[in-house]
Amino acid sequence: MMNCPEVMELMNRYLDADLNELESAHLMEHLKQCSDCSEMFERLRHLSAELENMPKVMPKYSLVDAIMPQLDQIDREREHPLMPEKSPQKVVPMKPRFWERLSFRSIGGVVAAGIIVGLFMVTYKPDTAQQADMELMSSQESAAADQKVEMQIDASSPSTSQTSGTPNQAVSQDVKTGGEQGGAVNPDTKSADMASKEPPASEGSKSGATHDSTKAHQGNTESSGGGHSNQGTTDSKSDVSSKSGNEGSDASNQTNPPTSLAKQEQEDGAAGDTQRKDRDASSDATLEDGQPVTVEIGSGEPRSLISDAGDKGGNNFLAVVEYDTANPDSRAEVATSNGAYRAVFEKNKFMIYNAKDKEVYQQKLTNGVFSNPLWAEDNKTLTYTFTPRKADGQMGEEQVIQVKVKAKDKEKQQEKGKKSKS
Amino acid sequence: MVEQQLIRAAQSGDRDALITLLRNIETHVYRTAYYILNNEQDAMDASQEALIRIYTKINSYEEKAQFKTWVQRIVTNICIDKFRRTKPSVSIEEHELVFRGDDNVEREVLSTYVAKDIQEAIEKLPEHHRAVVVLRYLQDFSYNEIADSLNLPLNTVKSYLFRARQQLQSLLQDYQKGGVR
Repeated sequence: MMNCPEVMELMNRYLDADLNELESAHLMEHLKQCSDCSEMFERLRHLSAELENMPKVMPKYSLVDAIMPQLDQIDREREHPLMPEKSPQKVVPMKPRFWERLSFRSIGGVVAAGIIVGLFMVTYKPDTAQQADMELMSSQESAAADQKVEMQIDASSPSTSQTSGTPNQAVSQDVKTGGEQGGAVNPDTKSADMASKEPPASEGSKSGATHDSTKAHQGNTESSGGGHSNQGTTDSKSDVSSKSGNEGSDASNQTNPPTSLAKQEQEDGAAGDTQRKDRDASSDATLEDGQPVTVEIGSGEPRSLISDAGDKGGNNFLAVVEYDTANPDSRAEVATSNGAYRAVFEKNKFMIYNAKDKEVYQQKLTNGVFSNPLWAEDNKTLTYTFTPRKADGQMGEEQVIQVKVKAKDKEKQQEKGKKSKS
Repeated sequence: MVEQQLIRAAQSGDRDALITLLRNIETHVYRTAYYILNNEQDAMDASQEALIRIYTKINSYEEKAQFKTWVQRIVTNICIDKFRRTKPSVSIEEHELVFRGDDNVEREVLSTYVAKDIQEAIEKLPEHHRAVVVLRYLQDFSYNEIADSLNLPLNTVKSYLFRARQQLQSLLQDYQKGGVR
């Protein structure tokens, strides 16, 4: 007679047509006698059928056609080593090579973004900024008052996601800034990253002239737009206008790099440098703030730092909240500013409770230290730093983990309603 | 057969053959990327990257492996890489996400679209589990082919696939319970 876990494997292999006759017979026999297994079998069969019926998606356009210019380029580069011998011009000028690498699409993008940025610079007036501010508020549903709070949080803790912007943007932002916090990536890497995607941007910013930095803007605009959504030019336009609204927005707010750049350019001309400095400053802040993470809890006493639920988010990140799986008595708890959720780390588990104190999520935790849990302004996204402890007791590399309370559409809508009212 | 000839021609420098080969596989490449990344734009980017890599590395393909598993290895690697870069956030490998949906509101909403539910549930799987499911169900790969593509031992493939099913099943069950289905 087989036991149920063994049968579970048979069920799975049955679904993959991996059973011989004898095994199938065993399976069927067991299913007749065991109602639990037979219920499970039904469900798995159903699931497997659903999975087989998943839409066979197709690309919107031919991918090969789309990459053809790049393939041509690769061919040209491959032939290149031979060229000096064959062709009379021995010295290959840098410029042509640089331009060759540009596809028409990216040139178009550069030009378009340049025009947009140019227009913005020409038409920029304080008055306009006010108007844009209004736009920003209406389009992003975030109260102006909140923005200051956000900025503070951003400066010290990059993991806070912004209320502004779509949820998608917030997520990817967190990831980027998360990397910085982990110390593995330095702030400039990100721009380097962008640049590598967009060759013109990198070349442009290297040469550093005002004209070139416009190109750099464009690079940023493009890559941020492309990464987040399929919205095209319109998106980058609205970006620009919202930028002007974000008067004084911090450099760490990466959604709008072009804006802050443009502003700084106007203010002091040396756009590139200023921005780099700003970035450095923000990352320093991160490090300082991040340091308490490594503070050890000396005593075995239960440690609970409960942030004030009523306090508008501001309190959360100041406290050093940490949970260490090696310390069975430790405990960490953080509530959202609206009190809708509470995240608790204790007894090797991570739990999220809702306002009614009902447990909504539970995760088992792996060995390590969980620190600085912080709810984002959306009251749904929790970010914390996890430092794994390896088997030999050494600490691994810090990583920033983000957990999002899964959208309950109803509640979401309610929240949206609230927001737009406020 | 035809494919093998194309590959040989491509490897000996026939560019048209190589392009034809790429055209033949682009849908497969895209499909895998789409279901691993769960996002059209990312899938487009990743599959283009994969095709370019195949174009440049065609000579490193050896006939002892199946071409389709070689291709899928390239695309899954790119996707998993991309996936890590864009959302290193929730890795269920470390944190087994147990959904304790006792909340009626929650379930009600989650039970609306079957296909969407499944896709959503797949999105909750850790990257390798997800890749195994995608290769099994969207590429119709056998255990061995999946193992070759992902460079994983056969037993690992099985346990990933079985655990993924288990997890999907329980996620979907949670979705259904409060539902009006």
